[in-house]
Amino acid sequence: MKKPIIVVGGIFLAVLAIRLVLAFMIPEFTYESYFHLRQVEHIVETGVPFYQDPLSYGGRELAFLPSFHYLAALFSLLLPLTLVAKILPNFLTALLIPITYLISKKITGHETGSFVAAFIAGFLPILYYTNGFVVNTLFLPLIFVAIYLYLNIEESAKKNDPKLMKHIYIYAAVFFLLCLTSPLAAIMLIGLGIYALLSFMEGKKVYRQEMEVMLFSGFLYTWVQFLFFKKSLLQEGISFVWQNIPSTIIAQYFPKFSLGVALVLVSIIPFLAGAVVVYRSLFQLKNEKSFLLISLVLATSILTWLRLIRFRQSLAFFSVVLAILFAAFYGDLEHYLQKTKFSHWQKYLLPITMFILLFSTVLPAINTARLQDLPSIEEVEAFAWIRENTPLSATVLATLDEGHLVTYYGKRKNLIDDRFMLVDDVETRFQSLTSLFTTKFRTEAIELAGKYSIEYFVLTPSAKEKYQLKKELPYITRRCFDTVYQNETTIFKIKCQLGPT
Amino acid sequence: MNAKSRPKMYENYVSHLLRHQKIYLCLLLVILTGLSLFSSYLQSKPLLMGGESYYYLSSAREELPYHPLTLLLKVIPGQIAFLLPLFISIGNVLLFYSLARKIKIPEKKVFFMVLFYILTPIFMFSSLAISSYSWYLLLLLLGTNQVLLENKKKYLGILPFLLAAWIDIFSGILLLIGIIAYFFIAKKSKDHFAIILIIGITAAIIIDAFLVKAPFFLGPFTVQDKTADLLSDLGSFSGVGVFALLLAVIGLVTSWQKKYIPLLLSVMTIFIASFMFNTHSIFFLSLLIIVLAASGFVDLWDQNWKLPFLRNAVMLLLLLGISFSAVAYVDRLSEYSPTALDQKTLEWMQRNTPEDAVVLSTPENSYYISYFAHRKPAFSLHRRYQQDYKLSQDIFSAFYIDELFPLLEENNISIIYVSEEMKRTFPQRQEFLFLLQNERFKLLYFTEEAEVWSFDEAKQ
Repeated sequence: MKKPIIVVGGIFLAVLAIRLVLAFMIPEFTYESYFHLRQVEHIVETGVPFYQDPLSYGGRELAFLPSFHYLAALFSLLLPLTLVAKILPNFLTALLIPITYLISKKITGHETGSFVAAFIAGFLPILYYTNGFVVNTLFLPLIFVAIYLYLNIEESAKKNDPKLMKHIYIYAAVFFLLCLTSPLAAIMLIGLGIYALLSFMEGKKVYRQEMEVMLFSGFLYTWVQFLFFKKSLLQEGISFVWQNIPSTIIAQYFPKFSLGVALVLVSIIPFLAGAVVVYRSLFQLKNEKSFLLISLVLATSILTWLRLIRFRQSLAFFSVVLAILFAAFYGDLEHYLQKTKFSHWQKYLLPITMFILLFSTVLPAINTARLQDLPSIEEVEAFAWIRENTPLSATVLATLDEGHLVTYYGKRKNLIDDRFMLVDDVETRFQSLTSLFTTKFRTEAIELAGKYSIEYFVLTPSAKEKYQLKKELPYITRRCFDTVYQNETTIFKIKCQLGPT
Repeated sequence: MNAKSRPKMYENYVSHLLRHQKIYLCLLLVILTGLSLFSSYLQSKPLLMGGESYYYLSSAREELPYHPLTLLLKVIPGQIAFLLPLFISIGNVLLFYSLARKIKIPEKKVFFMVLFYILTPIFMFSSLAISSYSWYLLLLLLGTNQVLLENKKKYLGILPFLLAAWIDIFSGILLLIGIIAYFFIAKKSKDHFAIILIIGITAAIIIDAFLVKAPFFLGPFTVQDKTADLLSDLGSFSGVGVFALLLAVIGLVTSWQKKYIPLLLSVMTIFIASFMFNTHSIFFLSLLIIVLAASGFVDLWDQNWKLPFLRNAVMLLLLLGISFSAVAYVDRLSEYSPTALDQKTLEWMQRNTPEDAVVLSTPENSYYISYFAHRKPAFSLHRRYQQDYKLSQDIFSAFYIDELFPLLEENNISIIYVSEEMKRTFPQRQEFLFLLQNERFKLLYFTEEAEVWSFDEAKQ
């Protein structure tokens, strides 16, 4: 067997094993995952996703891209969904290892550097949310496959290679799937635009075939997004790009750039190495091979700066690009060492690098997995209790994060969850949610509960922590509320309602 | 069928389509308009749409006796007035074909210009609503076709041009600039005809401005939103689709090296500036966009693509994108006012409220109030946009009666029409709808989702 297959395959299997161990150590999923689990369940049952959700927000229309859910549904025909939800995202994320190797190898031609890059990609802390059943886990490998195929197209166009058409067909299929996976595919388009501009400025030839691919990608992306998000575009206008997130929490979704957080989540070594490579490629070496990756970094930075993509999503993409660029850094470092009187130390470069990476990347990655924001088993039990012990038509109050737990485990209507698009009164609902967890006045709480037909209030330890409640909700009294479930989590049933005065 | 015969067959289809494009495209226009009209008929909605239509219909009764459109509406029976916009649109298409033949625009380009015209939201809307700019385009095309005849018949072109100059000052000036540019810059001729035409148009503009006191722009008839009014896909009922705009950008890029680019850029600057000033003039900008889009589409098609697979995919995506925009727009048109409920309630208002009553509703409803209720609306956007827009904002976002009552009293408002749309979009528990609970308001009429309230004078 060839050495790259053994090494990259070895890293892939080791990373997959570590990720699966970490994932199975904790039985639950991240809060957002429950939305996707519900969609997959519905696809398995009916063949289509829940575009008309009867439970979320008490019944609403949803707009999202479904390819991740269909992929998971396909696997859950063979395995139980809970197992698929643990294995599939970790498998997909681990696929970044061979993809990173292939791109690094293509750009740098340096084998050892590419192995190191693949290793880094396997242990990026930002990608260690092992219990997340989220779309990003499909989006990231797909976008990097698309980048790799684009590099192949460029190479084939240059050499007039007959394999070009094969690459084009695969690229078209992958890019179509990418467009059906996440609107973040825009990163690729903006990156390609910057790449064309950068190439023009630096006098690098952009082949006609490349321009045709860019044009095709642009129109395909616009068309697919237009098909799926037409209604939110009509309803929310240009502000649909901010996904109708309530103004009070928009800063939480699009926080300002924090160097500290970035260094921890991307890991310091690839971050610094990436900065060096970008600087040298752009200003010293004019290294054309890295132009595409640098353009993608610039595209991500611009979109993050404009608050068009979430900070964590941009960091995830950014970190894989930095891992790829590390291969170039490693190659340059090796080359540099050869020219100095420390050239005999070159054989220690790989072990030293791996040793540093072990501390700066692997340990933070495992720590990230350990500290994931998940509901506790007891909380999940409380939400599952709702399903068995409340009327089918009941609406249940829980925090924003726990909204999907109400619909997934409880199978009951929620007041609000984090899918804001296409909701008319999202601001009012969010204010009402905050009031219901913070007000001291019983009349206000009862009025709001009546307005949204809320019958059950769930108070979990996470909710107490979030709203800094010492014990219970201040307006809870025996006269108006029955405690129907009591553990660490408490569930109240409302008895009173405001009558005419 | 072998592989070689397939491209041949494809070419045959294309040439057949291009040869009979006039029939096919006119048919498409009639079908799309017919679908919207049929949908309105099924919902018992008035068949004419938009504030501008009802502005002309009510003007035909009282004011604007000088305007060509109101004169026309005085002649046409009310029951078939809904056909007027469609005939104007068909006239525009047929006259454009005639013009294209005279100035030798390539067949393929003409096809896409007309196709995009038919599938562009603002022009689809102008087939269902009386639009002065659509009428202006008809007169312009009629005049140009005549002027290009180069014999005595060209003098017949003066009449449509004079009528076109009469619509508003902006379109008059636009026409004058166009005529001057054509005769003195493009044709470099200074014959009597050109001078007569220019003097005639100038006189018409002067009379229109100083004697008739016509506005610079006749509009807007809706509240303006600069981003949405440009792109119909962002929720407005005017403007163009996203794909047409993208294609127009490509068209502009591919035209960059051509000799007419200074002219194109000048026209574009004028249209963009006028759009920024008054979004009702989007009609002209949209015309330019579809011309550029058609040019961009044909240029893309004719490019020497290295990857024919991608060319076919791109062309298909573009056509699908533009068609989907159009279909989505036709679907949305069924929601556009006036609704059957608007008509029913406003007709009740005509029978049951004092004739001198001033009626408050959203600014967009003003023209329906004038036409169906025969009452004076509180707002008149096309006359005093800024002032009325601010007043409407102040009234509908007032939190307290101390803020609201003086505004209603100052403007002599005695009747309030709360439409279905207002009930759906205005907050129920605060601001205007909440303040209606005050004792000075009395519910006079309610039906399904619409209400009529009276606002009583303060007791001394």
